Amino acid sequence: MALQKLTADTLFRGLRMRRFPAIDSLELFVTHDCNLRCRYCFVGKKKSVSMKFGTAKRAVDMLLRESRSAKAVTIVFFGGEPVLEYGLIKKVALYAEKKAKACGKQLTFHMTTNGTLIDKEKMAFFGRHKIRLLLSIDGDRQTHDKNRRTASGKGTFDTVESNIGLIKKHQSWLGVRMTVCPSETGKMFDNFLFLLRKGINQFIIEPNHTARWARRDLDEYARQWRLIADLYDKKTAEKYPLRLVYFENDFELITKANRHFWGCSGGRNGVTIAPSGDIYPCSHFLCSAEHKSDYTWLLGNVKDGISDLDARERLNRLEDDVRPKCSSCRIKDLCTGGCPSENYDTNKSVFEPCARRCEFQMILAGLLSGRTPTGKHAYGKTGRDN
Amino acid sequence: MEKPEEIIKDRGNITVAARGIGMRYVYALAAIADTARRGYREVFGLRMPSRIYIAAEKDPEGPNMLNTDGRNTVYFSCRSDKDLLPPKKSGYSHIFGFSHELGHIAFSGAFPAGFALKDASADMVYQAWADYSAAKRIIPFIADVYGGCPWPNIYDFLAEEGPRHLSGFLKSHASPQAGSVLKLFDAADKAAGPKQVGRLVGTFGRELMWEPEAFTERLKKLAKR
Repeated sequence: MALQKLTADTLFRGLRMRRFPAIDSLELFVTHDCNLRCRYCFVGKKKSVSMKFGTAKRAVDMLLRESRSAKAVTIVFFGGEPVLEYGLIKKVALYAEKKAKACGKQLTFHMTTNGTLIDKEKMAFFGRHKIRLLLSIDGDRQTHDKNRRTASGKGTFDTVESNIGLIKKHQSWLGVRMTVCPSETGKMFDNFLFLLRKGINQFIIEPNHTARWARRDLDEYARQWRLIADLYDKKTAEKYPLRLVYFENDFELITKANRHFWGCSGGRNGVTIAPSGDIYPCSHFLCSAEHKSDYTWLLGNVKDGISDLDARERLNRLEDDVRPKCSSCRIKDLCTGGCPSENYDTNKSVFEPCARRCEFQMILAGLLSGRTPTGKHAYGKTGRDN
Repeated sequence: MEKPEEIIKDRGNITVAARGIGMRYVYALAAIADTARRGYREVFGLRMPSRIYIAAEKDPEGPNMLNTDGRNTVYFSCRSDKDLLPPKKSGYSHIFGFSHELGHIAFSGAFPAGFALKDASADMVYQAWADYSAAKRIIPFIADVYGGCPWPNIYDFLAEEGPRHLSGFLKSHASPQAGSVLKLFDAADKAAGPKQVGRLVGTFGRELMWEPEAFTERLKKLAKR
């Protein structure tokens, strides 16, 4: 009887899982440790807790299983600083490649790194196995070293800058994540230009959401974005290999594409795995849960897969009526309700937007309205292929 | 709201776990799947998993859904009792539908979990096989074994979901490409018989994961025999 009940429970869980999109993206939070102590880092207190290979294997198996018939799957190495777990990454990459091939799937790797621990050997491996790096760098030395320092307080700009060439040797198309703090907003365009001249092709520019932003900082932030947009238009018109995803479509197209969509891919087609094997919608939810010991959004563990289907169902809701604060907002289909994790942290509801983020989204919306997206095709195939 | 009744039923090589669906439908699902499983083994000579699972549910807030993991489990969900009525009243061909899903399992039951076919053309072959095998061979096999209709609301399933159903598919297929693959299976069946078609599927079916063109070429050769 007990076995029958177990079989029935497994089958009903499988049936309910079929109502959700297939999971085709897996983020492995390989370590909580980091050699840097960046002031704005959302990961919080660094600790030497790392993922075991057995856990990673289970996670990869889960990805391949839960991606169902999806042809392409993605694994993202994240942390802390993932390169601290280079040995694990190597093993996981080889294992995942073998398993994905046996399943007939195309596998893509990504890794977000601070770029301080890479060397020739590691880069050769990343290049060989097409592990695409996203480099965290904020701009020139002064800007970067203000926040991105080692545990002993030493700036890291020189190391990161010196590694850009090495990375580009193995990965011709390089993207960066540039975090903007209020005090550095006035240099945002200059920093963009600085990195562009270093050969960076793709930019994710995000404000430091944890900082206090005064009105004048926000106005300056908007002004700097306009400068970036102008340069972007000029460069892409010249077919310069550059991507800034915000500008590839106009306001109308984006909002049309996002109509009736809420939230993000976290818990929908993507999940994050903690070093313990616990499954969260994304790394923000993971870190927030661990800081606050609030496990509302813990979806399960790789040992037995996603077990809290109610939580996953809440994240998969798309109806406007669950987010009354957004329903009448003119840009709700641009920001799709903000970051669910940040919403939960600020308002204890994933459906209630964080006011601070709304301000940044309004700036972006203002910038996009009336823009002609010149860069839509300018990068050609290069950006996607790499 | 009262929790709907859960039933778990084993019959032969089939286990059905059902929620909110009447016992007579659970029996019917188990019987149809068990017979279809036998049909794929006996008619096509294919290996089938030793146990096939069916998860079935009636949920007014859920989707109408029938699909499979392609290995050993079929997932079925409907919104109301009306969805369980015969095809002319519900719009759903139940016996054909379950036979079609078992056809997928017959093709890919030995593939790894989460397998992916190479591209849309591979998927076309995979679907055409399930349509052809279910309508042309498995529905008549079930009719032979039962003599009557195994569905609780009796209907002429052989006429509505059997070989004539396949002829309808062949005439009205929305995609000419998909229709031509279906025709190929039908022609191969006529030229070489279902055992040979089954042999091709059992031996070379995996080609759909890497080189579907090779499989289609083999099917063409068989059809020209």
